[in-house]
Amino acid sequence: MKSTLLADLWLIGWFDVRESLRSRRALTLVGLYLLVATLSAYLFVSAVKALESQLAAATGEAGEAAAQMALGLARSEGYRKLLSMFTLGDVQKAGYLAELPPMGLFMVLAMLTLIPWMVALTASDQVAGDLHLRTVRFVALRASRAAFVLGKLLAQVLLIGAVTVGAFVPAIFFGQKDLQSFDASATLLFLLATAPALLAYAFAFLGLTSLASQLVGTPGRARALTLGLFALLWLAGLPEPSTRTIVGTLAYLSPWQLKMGFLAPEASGRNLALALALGYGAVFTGLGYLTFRRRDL
Amino acid sequence: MNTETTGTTGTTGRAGRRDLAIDAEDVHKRFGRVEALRGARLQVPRGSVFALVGTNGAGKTTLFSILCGFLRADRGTLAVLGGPPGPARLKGRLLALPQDAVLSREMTLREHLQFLGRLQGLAAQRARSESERVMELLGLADLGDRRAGTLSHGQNKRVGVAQAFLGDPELILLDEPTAGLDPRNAHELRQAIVAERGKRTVVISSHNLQELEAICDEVAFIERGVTIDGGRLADLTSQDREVTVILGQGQVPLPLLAKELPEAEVTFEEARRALRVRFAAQPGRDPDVAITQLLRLLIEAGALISEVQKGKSLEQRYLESTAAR
Repeated sequence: MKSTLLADLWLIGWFDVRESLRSRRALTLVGLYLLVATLSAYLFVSAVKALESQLAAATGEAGEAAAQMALGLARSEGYRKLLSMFTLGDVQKAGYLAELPPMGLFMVLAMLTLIPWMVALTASDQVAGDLHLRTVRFVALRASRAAFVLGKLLAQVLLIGAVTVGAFVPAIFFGQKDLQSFDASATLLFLLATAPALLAYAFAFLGLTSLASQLVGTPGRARALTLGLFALLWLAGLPEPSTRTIVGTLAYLSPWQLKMGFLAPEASGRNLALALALGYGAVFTGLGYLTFRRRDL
Repeated sequence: MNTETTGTTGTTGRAGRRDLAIDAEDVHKRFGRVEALRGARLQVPRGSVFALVGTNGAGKTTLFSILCGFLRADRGTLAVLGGPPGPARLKGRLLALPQDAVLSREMTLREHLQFLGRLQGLAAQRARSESERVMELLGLADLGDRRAGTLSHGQNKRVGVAQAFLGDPELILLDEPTAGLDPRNAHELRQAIVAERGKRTVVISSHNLQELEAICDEVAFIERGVTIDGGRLADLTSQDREVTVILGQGQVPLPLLAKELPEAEVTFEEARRALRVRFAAQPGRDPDVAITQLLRLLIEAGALISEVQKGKSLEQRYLESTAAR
């Protein structure tokens, strides 16, 4: 039975991936995501390049020397202060972030910001779309509802995973092409090491879209419910999570509160964020399934 | 939801002790304020070609959807191939043409069929060969590489039917399978269904009573969510007990018939000049012998015979059943 579930969800997931790759809407959204990632990389490169040029002009140093100075500035006290503001005064975390490849850090932060909304836009109809057109009925005779839901989720995970890793390419390309101070291998290694965390973070939000998509019967309603849930949980995730206040307690419901956890100085902190993200995804999907397993198709 | 399910195939009301592919009793289903099923009953013998007849909104599609496990009955007992519906038990054993279900637009017909074949448990090679077989069966062989989104309504309907013939299912449910098909395709589909008789159970819902009469062994009439009548087609239409002879102008030998066929009930409808003879049920009697005897008497009496109809048409029987409600 277990092997049937796994085999079925793989068949359903892979069929959905292939279909998505041919769908204009999905391709447009993937293209949009890559475009934003490319623009982010380009903006970062432009800013650092401008800094390199200014340093070269001001000091009379050129080429490698200016690049080294720029790299030094990137590790400077000012940069640490900037990161310290970003980490709400957490000096230890700011110090850790300052040691990371700046381009890699910038791209990861950009993706952590972008991923939830891309997920909301691309994946909200993962189940509701098939319910609306009753396509699900061809599958429901042959595979369990659990296999259907998980297969659809798997397809989204694969697509988001591919797009996320794909977004690393422009970062490496522009850095290598335009920056003297760019350490391509360190940046690539950092990005690849962070990819599972990004995917886990995406999974948390995919679980939320799965929940919304299993509760309603049309793509429009699924999208509206998804955006509503996202907005609510985004607001809930704004305060620092804490058990001392109601608002702080509510923040625990939000996967958004995990964002900085992926950049924690300790590996245990990062692993915890990853595990929690997977947990959020699983719980949200499971909550939706409680309804979906008994609902009319 | 309070659906009881039974794992038995067996003794059920009028069907008696028979090997049933479907055994549904007192099935209820409500959508908000609309009561779609109000105690529907269905007993389908294994190996038969079975017709489910009813007007639009009678509850046929709802009943099909419950049998497939798409919908959950609010109340009633239900056994499909000996147990509750659902893919855990019926994977590859029950296939259906769901009404109004749409295939994914972007994938080709061949990809769909292979995917669905794999999903019902066929090995990759078998799924490929089965896809080709059912495409050939439904006249879709030339369309295998076309995306579903580019197919016409009729072509999509045939794909829907084709997927229901993949592999070796024990039970196939076809909801309005010929609706939207051109006459040739509808004919070919009927032939394909008839070819399955005895190999598997096929249940068809349709408005086309002539079509159902030509291919089905058994029938159930459903109206306003209730099964109002059903049974063997030959019994329902009295094909082995009743004959209608349309006579030409001239005298009708009613006294002779009453004398020679004392066990039969003879009536004559002047307007249509229809002589209806209903024979008493006699186990083992060959209805064709009785009909031949009747015709010989009429010919010997000099009556002009314009048309002979064995039993009632399914349409007549359906109208009688629904009028009585």
